[in-house]
Amino acid sequence: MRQLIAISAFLLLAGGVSAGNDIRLVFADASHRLGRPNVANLDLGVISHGASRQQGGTRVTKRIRVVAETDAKERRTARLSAWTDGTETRCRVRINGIALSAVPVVVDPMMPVGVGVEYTIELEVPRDASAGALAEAITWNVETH
Amino acid sequence: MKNTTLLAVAAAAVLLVAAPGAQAATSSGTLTVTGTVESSINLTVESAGGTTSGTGTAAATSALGNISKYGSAPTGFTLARGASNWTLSSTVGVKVDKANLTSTDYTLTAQLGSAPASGVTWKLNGSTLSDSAATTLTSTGTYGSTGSYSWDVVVADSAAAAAIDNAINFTATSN
Repeated sequence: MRQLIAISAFLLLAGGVSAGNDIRLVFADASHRLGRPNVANLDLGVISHGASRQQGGTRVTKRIRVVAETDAKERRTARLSAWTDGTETRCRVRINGIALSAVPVVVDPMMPVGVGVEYTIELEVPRDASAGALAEAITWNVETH
Repeated sequence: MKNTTLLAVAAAAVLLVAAPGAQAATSSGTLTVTGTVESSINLTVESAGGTTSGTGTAAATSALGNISKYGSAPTGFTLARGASNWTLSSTVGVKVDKANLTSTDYTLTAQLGSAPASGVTWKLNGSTLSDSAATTLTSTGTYGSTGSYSWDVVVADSAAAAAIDNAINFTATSN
């Protein structure tokens, strides 16, 4: 009986350590990590239509790298979805050409876990949008398969 | 019997341990994209007399070729002969677009890039241009539509036969 309790206790303890369900999203641009895991800021600087001949508005694109970090070794892929909170009405956001809205959309159905994956964020500001500072929060959700 | 129970419980424990590993891990993160939208206007030369290049941009060129009082008018120009001078007439189309700007109209001025050749007068909208001061063409320009301005080059009969090359620098300022 002592043996039984000892083995069960060991297995439960081992299970608690190796569950590995912690996963976090790390964002980075070409040169450095942005913010801290799960919370980051990407500043696009001055957005000016200037001499651009784009008809639909001013488009700014930026490549970012996203890593779904986890301690669990068995995770291989995940589904990455994203959405905006809809409070910033002066711009439209696309990730890899997929328009975001308040409804979550899958931007990568098979994101490899633990590997940096590049995504293109495109911000489009209509020409009739008012000038000034803007901030658009993009929520990303990662779910391992 | 004792060993069988032990194995069964151990197997159950292994299953319990393995179960969390099969669950999907989920996490959310927020990337806030920030920037500052800046107001801007953009001027383009849409048309001009002569053989043009660069129309639709802010740096167009118009070549008139060889011009003379008794020759034929360059492409896109008319030629009027006066008693002591002659005039080549055409139009210049200038468009100003705006973005992220509340201004409803703009002021457009023009100025020569260099002093005109002796005996040659450059006019836009009937006003003589100089290289020393800007001439206002309109103070109520409409964004997004091409404004057409009459363009005259008056050459005195006494002017020396030589190149009349010059540049007209347009400046648009939002009101």
